Amino acid sequence: MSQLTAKICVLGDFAVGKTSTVARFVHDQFSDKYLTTIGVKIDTRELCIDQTAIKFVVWDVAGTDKLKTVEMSYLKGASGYVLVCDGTRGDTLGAALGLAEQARARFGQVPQVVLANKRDLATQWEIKHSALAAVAESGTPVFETSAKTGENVDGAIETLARQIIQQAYTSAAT
Amino acid sequence: MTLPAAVDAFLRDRLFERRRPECASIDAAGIIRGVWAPDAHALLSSADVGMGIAAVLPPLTGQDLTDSLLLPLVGLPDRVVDVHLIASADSRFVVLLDASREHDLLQQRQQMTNEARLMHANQNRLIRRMRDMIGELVEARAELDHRRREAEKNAASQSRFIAMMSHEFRTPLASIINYADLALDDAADQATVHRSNEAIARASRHLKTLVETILDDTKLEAGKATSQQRDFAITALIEDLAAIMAPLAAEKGLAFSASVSENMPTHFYADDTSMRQILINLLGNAVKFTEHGSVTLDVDWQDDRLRAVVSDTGPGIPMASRQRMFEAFERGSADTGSVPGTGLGLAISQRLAKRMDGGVTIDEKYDQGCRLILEIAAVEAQGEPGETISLPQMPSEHAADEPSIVLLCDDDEDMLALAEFYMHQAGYGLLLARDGLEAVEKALAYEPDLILMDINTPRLNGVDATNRLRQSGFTNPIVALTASSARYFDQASFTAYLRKPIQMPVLLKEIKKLLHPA
Repeated sequence: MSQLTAKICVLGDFAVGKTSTVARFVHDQFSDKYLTTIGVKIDTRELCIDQTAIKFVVWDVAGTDKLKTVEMSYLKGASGYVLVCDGTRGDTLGAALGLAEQARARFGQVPQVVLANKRDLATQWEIKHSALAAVAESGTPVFETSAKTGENVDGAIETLARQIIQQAYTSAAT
Repeated sequence: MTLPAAVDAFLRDRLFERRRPECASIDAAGIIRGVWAPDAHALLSSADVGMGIAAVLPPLTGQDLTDSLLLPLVGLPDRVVDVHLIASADSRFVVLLDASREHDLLQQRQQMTNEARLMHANQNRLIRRMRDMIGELVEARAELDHRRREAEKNAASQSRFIAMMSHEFRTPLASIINYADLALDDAADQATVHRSNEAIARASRHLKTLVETILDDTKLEAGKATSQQRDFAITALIEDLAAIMAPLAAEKGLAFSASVSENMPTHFYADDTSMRQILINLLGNAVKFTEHGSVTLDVDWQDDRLRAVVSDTGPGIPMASRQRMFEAFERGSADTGSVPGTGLGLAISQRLAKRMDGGVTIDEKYDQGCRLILEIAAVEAQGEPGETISLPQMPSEHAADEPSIVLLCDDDEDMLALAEFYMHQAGYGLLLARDGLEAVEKALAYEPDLILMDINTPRLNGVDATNRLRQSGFTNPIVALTASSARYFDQASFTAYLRKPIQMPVLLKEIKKLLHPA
């Protein structure tokens, strides 16, 4: 079995549920209490995907709608981005995509997935399915997730893992 | 001055106490070559020489270790640290400084800011939702108002329909009952019995047509009627229509003509039964509502569409009624009270036409009367070239005058004939009028002892005719005799009110009572 270590950065506007998503992914836990992340929080989780053991070093970056110098320093060396938005706040999808564009301009293209979080509050959603479909059509996998219930969280990050593994093998081959 | 040793030592102690520094020496590959950890709680206390630094410090995973680096406020499971990589040509050191205090202060401040922003976002969302709800409420209110108006309109239509049906059914029923009584009367001779039977048959057929019309409309409304398409000759259809309509027009002194354009095919594939029904409706209305002039039917065909234009020189349809004229129980003409009908004809015609991928429209520009255009889909079938059909204008016929002491005003011929028989038999002289104006003229000229006045009479209705007579000084009894309910007309000028159907003996008794009050 091959082994891989990958740094992934979780990006998105404030209070969209990045830390809760990481807590669900790494510890399978959830708390309703909102606690602002300052700087970056680092966690790890190992997964086995298609005969590859992959150790994720997860960088949960403080929420923002624009990356400044400090946040940029956190992204260096990342193998993938988890872009999180809040389905109940329409402007957070644009913020997540904006952060991804800033990162791509600085560090180049890496695999990424979009998580439209708070699926458990679907009746309050402002983000239109058509907007998410447009993102998916552009090539970025999109998942409607709930850090609260765990819906689609593992699936989304496993999809990112497969892309990272694929890219790692492609790079090794060339 | 150099920093005194005591102060230097104090500051170093404070800095060490607050930032709890740790340090590891690494090589270019990130392998630990030496560790300085102040105590067993230090993050690097578990680091051994020879280990990879990333294994001890995950934040350094994937980092380029050849350049100096600062990663501030890095949250690790136990602590928050600033990670410094100090690189020179021949050495690399990783220095960790505790940043928990700074982190907590920043977090406290940022938490308040973010919570305020979240609250503001929630407020905006609530305001948007309230606006949406108000919008929905306004729409719901408008929808409710619309439905209420529709319900009121339907209720009014139904009331009109019931009133109309009451009149339409009672008139032929009155004929059937009275002629049956007459036929059973021992005093009636063979000719009278025969004439009574004819009148009963005529009234029964009228009732049947009335019921069928209502059933047709119900069937069409429920979408149960089906279209029957077949090959048919357009000239034969037009000739049939002319044969039906020309005598009716002639009775009223109207000119009637029907034509098909010269270059159109003679045979078509379409639902000719429905087309016939529609044209009978349109032509029947044209004849019914036109008092002077002509009724014409012109048929043309182009691009697989048959177009039949029915024009008359009648009163036309007021602009205000045109939108509703194709709705059931609505009647478009300005003078509907004096003309019998169910108000279903145009509604049925429109539904039939739509079923044939067509419609009935009104020519808005035509100002000589009313012009309705039927257009339906019809493809050419085998047949001969078309021909033009025209019928000559027939002269008008007028009712005969007969002076009497009782004047009966009614537009129903059966009622007039029946009354004539019974009145004469009872010894009364009878004066007949078929409309309100004629009744007024004859009443003022001959001063009858009593007038029996139908309410729904052509040209001038019974109420207006009675009022006109009273204003002219006519004081003899005037009895309202109608199939309509008393609440549908003003009874003030009438001496009494009798409702159709009324048996002739009862009528004679009432007349006697009014003419010779005890």
